[in-house]
Amino acid sequence: MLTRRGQVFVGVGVVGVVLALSFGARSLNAVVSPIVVALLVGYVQLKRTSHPHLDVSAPTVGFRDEEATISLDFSAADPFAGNVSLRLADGLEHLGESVDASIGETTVEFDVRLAKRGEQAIGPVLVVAKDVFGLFERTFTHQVRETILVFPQITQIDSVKAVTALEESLNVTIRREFEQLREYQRGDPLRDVHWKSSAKRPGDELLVREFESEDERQRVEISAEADAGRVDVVADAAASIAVALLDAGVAIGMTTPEDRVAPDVSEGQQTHILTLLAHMESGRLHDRERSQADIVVRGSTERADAEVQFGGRTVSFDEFVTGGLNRTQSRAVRADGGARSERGGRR
Amino acid sequence: MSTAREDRFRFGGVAVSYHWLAVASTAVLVASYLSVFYHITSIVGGKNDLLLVVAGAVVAATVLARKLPAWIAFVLGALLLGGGLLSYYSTVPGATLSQTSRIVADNVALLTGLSILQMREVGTWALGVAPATVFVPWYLVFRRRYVLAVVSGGVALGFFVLTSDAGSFVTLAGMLGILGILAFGTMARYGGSVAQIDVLAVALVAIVLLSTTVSLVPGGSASPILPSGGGGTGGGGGLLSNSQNVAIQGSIELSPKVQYTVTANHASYWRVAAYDRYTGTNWVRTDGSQPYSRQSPPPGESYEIRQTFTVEATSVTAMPAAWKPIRVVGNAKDGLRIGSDGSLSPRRALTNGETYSVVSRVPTKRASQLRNAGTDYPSAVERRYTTLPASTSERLREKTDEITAEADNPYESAVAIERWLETNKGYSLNVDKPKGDVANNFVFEMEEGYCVYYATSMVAMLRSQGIPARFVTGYTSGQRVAEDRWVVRGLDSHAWVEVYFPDTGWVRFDPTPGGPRSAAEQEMVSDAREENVSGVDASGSENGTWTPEPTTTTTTTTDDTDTTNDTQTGPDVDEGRRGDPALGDGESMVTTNGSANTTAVGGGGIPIRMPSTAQLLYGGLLFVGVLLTARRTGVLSRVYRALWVRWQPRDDPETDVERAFDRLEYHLAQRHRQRRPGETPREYIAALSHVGVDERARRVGTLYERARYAGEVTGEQADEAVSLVDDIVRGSKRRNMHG
Repeated sequence: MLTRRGQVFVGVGVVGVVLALSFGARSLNAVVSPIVVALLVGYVQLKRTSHPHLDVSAPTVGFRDEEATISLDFSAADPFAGNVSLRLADGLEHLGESVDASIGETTVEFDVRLAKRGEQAIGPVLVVAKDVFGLFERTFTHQVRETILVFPQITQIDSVKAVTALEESLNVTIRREFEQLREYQRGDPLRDVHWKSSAKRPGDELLVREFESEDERQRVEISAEADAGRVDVVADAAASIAVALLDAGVAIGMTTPEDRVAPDVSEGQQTHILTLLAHMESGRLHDRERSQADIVVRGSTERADAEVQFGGRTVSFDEFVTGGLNRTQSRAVRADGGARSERGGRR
Repeated sequence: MSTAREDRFRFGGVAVSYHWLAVASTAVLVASYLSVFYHITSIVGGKNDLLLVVAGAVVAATVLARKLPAWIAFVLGALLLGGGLLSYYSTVPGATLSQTSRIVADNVALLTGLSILQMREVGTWALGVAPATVFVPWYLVFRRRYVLAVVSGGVALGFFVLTSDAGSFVTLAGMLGILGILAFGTMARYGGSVAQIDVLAVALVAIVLLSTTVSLVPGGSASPILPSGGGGTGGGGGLLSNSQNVAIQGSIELSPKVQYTVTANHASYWRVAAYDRYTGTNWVRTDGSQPYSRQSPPPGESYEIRQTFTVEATSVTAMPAAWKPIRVVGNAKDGLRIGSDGSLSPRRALTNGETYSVVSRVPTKRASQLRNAGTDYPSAVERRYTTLPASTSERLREKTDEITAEADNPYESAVAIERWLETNKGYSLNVDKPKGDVANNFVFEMEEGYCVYYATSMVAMLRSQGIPARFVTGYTSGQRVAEDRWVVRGLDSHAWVEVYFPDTGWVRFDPTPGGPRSAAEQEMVSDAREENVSGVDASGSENGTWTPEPTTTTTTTTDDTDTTNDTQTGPDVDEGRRGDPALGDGESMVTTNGSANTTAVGGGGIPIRMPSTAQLLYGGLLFVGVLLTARRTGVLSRVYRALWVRWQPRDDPETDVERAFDRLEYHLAQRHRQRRPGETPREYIAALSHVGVDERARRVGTLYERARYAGEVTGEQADEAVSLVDDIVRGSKRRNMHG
């Protein structure tokens, strides 16, 4: 309860009284009285301080190695000086220890780095309240139930190149054939615009390709497995490939040692796959699962990076990204299903 | 990691950052103990030097703190302090003891309540120590190391509290400074709020109220552990207990009880102690004492007095003896110490029936010789015994110049001053203690006083002429009950003057007129006898005073001044002015002597006696506290609103109309309901018409719309709107004033 400063105050007060008793009062009353009053005021002030109300805002999802901002919105009737610290799960890191603030209608923000995949818990939030002289302190603990789901890190892959490569190696036609061109209508995806034909037409009209029916779309099954210590690279690689192919309109199924997501092209598919990969752990697939997959992403202890097997070829993920050609900048992309959504947006 | 933080305090339109409030609090703290330094230097000199070094330290700290890290403060502070103390200890003469043990013993004495005014060369000490005590906290607060600033400043303040040099007011101011730094430092770090400021204000007001009314701390007057071990154990010393200082009192009463009986071969004044440092309001003896050893006789011609004292009081802590005591005979010398003033100081109190014998050599006061003594004073004597505090005015020196205009040498000056005081001032034990410098007041303002006033004034006047002089306390010879026997009562206590003459030493002068005193004393003794007070008589003193036969070989001087008695060869017998009672420090006299009751009349009462400026500050602080509390509880804003709605300052017509409407709206909101968001003024007033809002309000609404949207209102219309609103809010019944 007493801070070190408060202990010093008590000590000085006691020494003052003792010295007064032994060697005469002098002006020690003018030393001891203020100390007593300060201690009393400090004690009462903290005693009257009530648990501040706290709202936590944090993104529900994020990608590994990204930064996320967690804001703590306090509201206290009587503002007090407080030191706010935020406990985080191992997978979340933040520089800076704690924040000193006057806790009233106050927002305190912590920028955290999403260090590990998976469900990462936030909290509890500790507020160490101090009185105006800093003689007493009192800790308020807020249990917080927020979590951040951390997805694998996505490396941008040129989807067209990837698809072409896959088509060649798998000897399948992944790209859906379009049957005819028609005029653009509201709601058509831009990727279906046939720019060449559009350019030839007069006016601003665009032409879009019309494809075969959904059922006939190509499906690609991806399996991912990793030895201990290689899970992150495998998850990153599998997620990057899956996102690129989903962007290209391919139905992707994903199998990990834990679970499986069936191929689909629905809006939530990307989130499902990323969530599966977020929870991926080391382990082996069954041979059957491996043989059914079109693409197998593997990470073995011997190799630092993930290897991608398809159509009898095995390339490292780095090679796969560059397609043997120019290197694309690795950067994080927002999955359109799992974009940062503030609390309440997607719950 | 970011947060919205309010780092400044806003009050009205003024915003002050908490950091600067902490700096201001530091200034209060530093000023509190600087006032002690200032007080010291104004007594012993060096006031201007002090201001100079302090200003230097402040500037240096302010400039350096911008560039250098915080720890530099301690390095520079330690250098300053070390240098200052070194220069001090190198100027203190006679440091023959091992330096460190002496320094430690000195500091223990100081920390247990010995005033620093009792230190030798305290002016040098103050100049040496002050810069460091200013520099360190000031530097640290600019580095925003608030707690370290508090610690360093608090140590300095605490030191003066422990040495009893910081009074209650100074200490309280310093403590408020400390708490201010802590609170504003906290706010500078965490961000502050109005609520925090309010808590602080309430705390400060409570502190002022509590510490000025209630004493939480037990304990009596200071009783330091002196390096000498003597004098301090008596629980506050005593007037005649050879204490370290004498506070000049107002009216006093003296005990008629017998303190000692003396058997001696000559009468003399029985001297207890001498004081060298005059503070303007009291007398302090600097420097400590030494274990007893045989003393050298005075340099010039002297005669011997052998005296044996028998203690008649219950307990006494003084060993009076004729000046100059050379040796103590018998076992009384165990534990005896010799003060820096040559006085005898027993380690423990002497109790009833104890006796001690002293051999003294009294310098012969031969006028012809003293006239030719010259002014070749030893420098140590001159420095120590000619200092006057700043409170002693130039006017006193001029007056003394006038009085001693015809004197050609220090002896004649001393005689002239002595005679002037005797003839121009009346004797009374009932005086009000003057405010300010005692010597100034006695010489220029007061009509009468008692021995302490006479002696203090004479010493101050002599010193103003550069003549070394000191203030001496003790007893007059007392009632002579036999040829070689005297009875000394509490009311025989006295204060007089010793003046230094080269080749002769310290010579006694007594400026107090003897006649009126003897009468007063006789009366007190007879009164006490009539009231059957015990202990008034001893050794047959009730049978009257023994008078020498006319054939006595000794020339008995009845001349009060000793001035014309050039031919006097025998011992100086002061029968004629025996019995000047009196002398201050009544408080300690009561505490130690038991039977020697000196009562200060009309003294204190309130634990803290504050100067009027302090009372102003005190009142101001209370006012601020009340104001803040009022604001906290919303009273202030309600008062403001109440005034705002009733009286409207005038501006241009449009502003006036808008303001008038605001007042109307506030008034209606108070009376009925607030205007809803989106509700137009017209709708609002119309909606309220059923509860008695009348035509006047509607008219104001119309004028408001015109001012607001058409932008064309005339001065008359503005006047109309304002007066209508005035009517409405003041509840006037006047109706329908169409413009």
